[in-house]
Amino acid sequence: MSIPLLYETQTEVRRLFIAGCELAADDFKLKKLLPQMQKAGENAPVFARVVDALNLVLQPGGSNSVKLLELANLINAILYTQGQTSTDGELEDIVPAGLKTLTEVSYRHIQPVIEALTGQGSGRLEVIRDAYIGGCCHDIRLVYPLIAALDDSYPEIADLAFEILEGFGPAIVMVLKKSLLVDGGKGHARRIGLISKINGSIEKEFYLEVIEKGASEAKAAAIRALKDLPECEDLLQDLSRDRKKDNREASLFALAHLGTDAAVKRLYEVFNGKERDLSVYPIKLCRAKGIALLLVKEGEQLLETVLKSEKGFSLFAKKVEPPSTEVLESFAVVLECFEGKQDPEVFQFLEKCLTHANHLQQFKISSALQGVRDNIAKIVAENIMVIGSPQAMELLESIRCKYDDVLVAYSFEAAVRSRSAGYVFDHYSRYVKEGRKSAEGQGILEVMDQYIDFEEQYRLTDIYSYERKSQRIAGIDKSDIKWDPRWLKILADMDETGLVCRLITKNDGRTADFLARKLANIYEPDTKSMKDIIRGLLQAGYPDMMGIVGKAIDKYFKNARYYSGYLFNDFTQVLRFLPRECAKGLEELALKQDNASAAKLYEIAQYLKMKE
Amino acid sequence: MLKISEELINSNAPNQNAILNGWGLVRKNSFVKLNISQDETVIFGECVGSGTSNYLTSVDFIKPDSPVFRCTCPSRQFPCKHALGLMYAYSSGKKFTTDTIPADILEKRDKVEKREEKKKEKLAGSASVEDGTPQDGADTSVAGTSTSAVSPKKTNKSALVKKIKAQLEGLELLDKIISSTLQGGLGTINEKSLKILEDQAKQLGNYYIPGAQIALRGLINLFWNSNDREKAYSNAVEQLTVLYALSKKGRDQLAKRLNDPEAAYDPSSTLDEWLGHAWQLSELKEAGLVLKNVDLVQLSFHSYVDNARQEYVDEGIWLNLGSGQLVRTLNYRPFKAAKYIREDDSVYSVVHTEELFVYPGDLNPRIRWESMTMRPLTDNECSAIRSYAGRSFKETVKLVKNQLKNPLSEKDPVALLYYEKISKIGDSYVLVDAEGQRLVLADRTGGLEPETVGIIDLLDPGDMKNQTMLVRFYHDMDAKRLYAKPLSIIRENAVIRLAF
Repeated sequence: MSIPLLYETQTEVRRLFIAGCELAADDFKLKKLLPQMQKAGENAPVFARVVDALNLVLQPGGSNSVKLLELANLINAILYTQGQTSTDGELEDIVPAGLKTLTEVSYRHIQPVIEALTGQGSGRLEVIRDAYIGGCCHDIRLVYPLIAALDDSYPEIADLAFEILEGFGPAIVMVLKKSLLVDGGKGHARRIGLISKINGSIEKEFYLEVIEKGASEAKAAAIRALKDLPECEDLLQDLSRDRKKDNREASLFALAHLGTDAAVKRLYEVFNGKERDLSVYPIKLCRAKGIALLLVKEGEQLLETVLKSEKGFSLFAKKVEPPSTEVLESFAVVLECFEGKQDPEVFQFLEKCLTHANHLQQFKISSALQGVRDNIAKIVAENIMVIGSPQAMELLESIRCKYDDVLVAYSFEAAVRSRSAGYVFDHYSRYVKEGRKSAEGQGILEVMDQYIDFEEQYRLTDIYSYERKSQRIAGIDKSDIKWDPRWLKILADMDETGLVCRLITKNDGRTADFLARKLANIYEPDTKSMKDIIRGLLQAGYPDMMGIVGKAIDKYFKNARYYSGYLFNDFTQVLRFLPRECAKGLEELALKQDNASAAKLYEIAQYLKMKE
Repeated sequence: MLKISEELINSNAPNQNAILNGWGLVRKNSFVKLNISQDETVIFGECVGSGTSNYLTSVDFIKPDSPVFRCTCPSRQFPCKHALGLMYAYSSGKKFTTDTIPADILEKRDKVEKREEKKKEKLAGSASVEDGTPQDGADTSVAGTSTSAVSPKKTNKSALVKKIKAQLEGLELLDKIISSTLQGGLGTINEKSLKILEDQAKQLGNYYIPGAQIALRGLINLFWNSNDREKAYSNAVEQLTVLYALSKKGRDQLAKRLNDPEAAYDPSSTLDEWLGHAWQLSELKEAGLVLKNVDLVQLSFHSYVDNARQEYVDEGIWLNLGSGQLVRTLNYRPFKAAKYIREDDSVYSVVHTEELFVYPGDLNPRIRWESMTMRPLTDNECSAIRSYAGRSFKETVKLVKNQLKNPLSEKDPVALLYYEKISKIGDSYVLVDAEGQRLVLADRTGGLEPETVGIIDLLDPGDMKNQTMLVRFYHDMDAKRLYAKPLSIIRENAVIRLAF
């Protein structure tokens, strides 16, 4: 059977479909095919039928469209039986990745995740995160969408995809490599980062290949991946002098991780060169003693310069110039590089700095560690606090009453973490009595704000706290920290209602009455205070919770200038902490409210009813 | 003890949101009462809602294969989130206290029983059976429509003749549309002519030939949605031949029917369906297209948007464990009513149904059932599935090509293939059978299912040899090739789905 001839005829028919069937009669190209077709028709009857149809098309007259469609129908029917299924060539065995996963996640569950991973727009992160938490992501069908998500412009999604893919283990490395473009951007750098995280130094040849052939971000990521390969140090040294900044930065990171003498030397060289910024983060990560010693030496010199200077004029001495901005900035950078370093030399240097707290507190600088612009003395204290050892706590606590108490908030924090509750109260309550108007009182109350929380069952998650210092404190285990009950009276006297609410203990009727009065006196809807006081009263076991909460809600609606469903929902979070007996009261209260808030109150009432 | 599996609940849920909302009610403890009858045939409860009084919800398992959902809420979704929540509460082990069955449920049960009896009586007295409609808006079984309802439908002969004449007129209009399109040529199709074609497709709606209307819309959509004009031309040529074949064969069929309007529809061909006949289950029963006591395993599933039909289509590919035939469930959800129609989902259990209705069709006919029960898939059943796979690609391909050559046939049949190995030739993936025959695997550009060929690289090395694969065939006229798209791999103890 002459199949190419049929395909040729089909091509001409297709052309006539496009050009219009009116041109079919006497079509030159079709006519040219006729003799060959006739010859084929002598042996195969099906070709004879095609010849008949073709003849009809070529003859003028009649419906051209019908004739052409008949011919097309016939040719298509034949060609459908002639589709090639095989292919020539040598068969190669496939070595699959061998991911040990089943595919038991149903369409309704997996399709939204695929859309979230490969689509655009908001709300995708939640879909992926929910699926991950729900255990739906360990599915072979999600592998490619997850890899595609490494390129997502929304970094949170790319990071989550990274985390999920890591869970597939070493088997995924092969797939990642296949999807890699050596001159790719961020997403491809993430692929290399992931390979490095899963397989580490095993992939040496791969990293070297990417460094050789790659460009831009992928190359920088491959340089970073050399961090576990001491034999590549020479290459890293060379790359630290590369033309491209990304490569220099990546090589410093890897050198810092290696921590050899030569690496330290190079890091310090850069630190003292024009590209100090590039070296700060790697130096912070570097655990080599050598770099700590060099930094201490540098710090000593800077401290000396700073100590020689005064801010402005000294009253009784000769005119002294203030330290230059350059010196102060260098000092700040050195202090920043100390973050997390546990070397005794670093500690000794910081201790020495502390002895000059009075002097250092004159100079303010921006510090990444502190997160805000602050004086050098505080940055030194914060550095010691980050060390977190008993020795560090002891040192900070010991400076109470020294250096004009400029660092008393740090002493207080150290005492809270290392001393008894009674000791802390005895030695620090006097500062609190001075109130927020004094710097010392303000500092200590801020620390208290961060260390004191409600009992566990009354805690609400604060998702808006991103401050660096708060995050450090949030990471500290506070279960052993106790507070002296005497604080309550002082704090109540100082009108520190928020802290009182958190510190109040069971059956403290007097303080509970104080809080009840406070709640009664809130006239403007202030959901934060209302939430705090209600939780405080619950913590104290206040007897008539429904009565007092009912009045508060009544007042909320009476005084609100406008009703905000969002604020009300926020407020009603605490109502879920109410005891079961309050359900009826809430239902009654709901009857007085509008539909939206009534529904909310009613829902909470039902929730309370189901409480054990 | 009454057993309700989560998969059964999910399969009854209209969509994923209903599942989430149902679970939400359980998590929020919104059910203030959770009860079960003494005989464990019905669970019922009270759920808090936005109304002033609680919603009374019940799920009656008096017939375990077709539970009846009842709820006093005003939702149009069926079953509503409250009925789903009630079942989730039960399946997740919440405490259900034993209580007497509420009087209204008993009353409704009585009514249903009486109705069933009446139906049986009518059935006994009537030889011919017609399809019925749901009897009670509030009580509906799993599959929705009931077949057993059966008063013989009186056909209005003159109305039927009128309808057939209208259909013939419609086909004439279709001929004119095809002819005018071809006279100008596809090359002249532009936005303006597409709008005219759309108007004409709308007009076709007046002639009771929805199949033709959908096919014409399919042709129009090829140009609206295409960035590749050449590809659109190739597809349009095929689509025009389909329209032409429909018009030609349809006219013959309708001419015959005009002589005998009351003649039964042809159960051996899909032509009547193309011409707009919606097969009633009772008609299928009458035509002998019902299988008794069938076990089915779903091997693949996907859901897609069909713009020509203006519907979402959920397609499940199932294997009849008794016969080895691959069949399809098709759930059509019109865009406008999609919210209220149950969206199908992947099913991993074996489905048992007393009666399986098989539509006229080709290699993979459409199926439906009224009621079903589920049970887990066993290793033996996996072996059974594998035993049905075609050992010779040549034979399977022959069957497929035979189907494809008919212009009105399904153009993407599925088949089970047993392969000796999966290999690569250059960038192409190839299945090889015991005779050394090769079959190229490929994803269809712009296909409805997700790309699956690449997943082969992720599989277990054991999947590369001597396994069974479910593939969907498709012919690419431009490439002059018949390709197979992998959908699932059936291992000795599991079905690995490459699509859904």
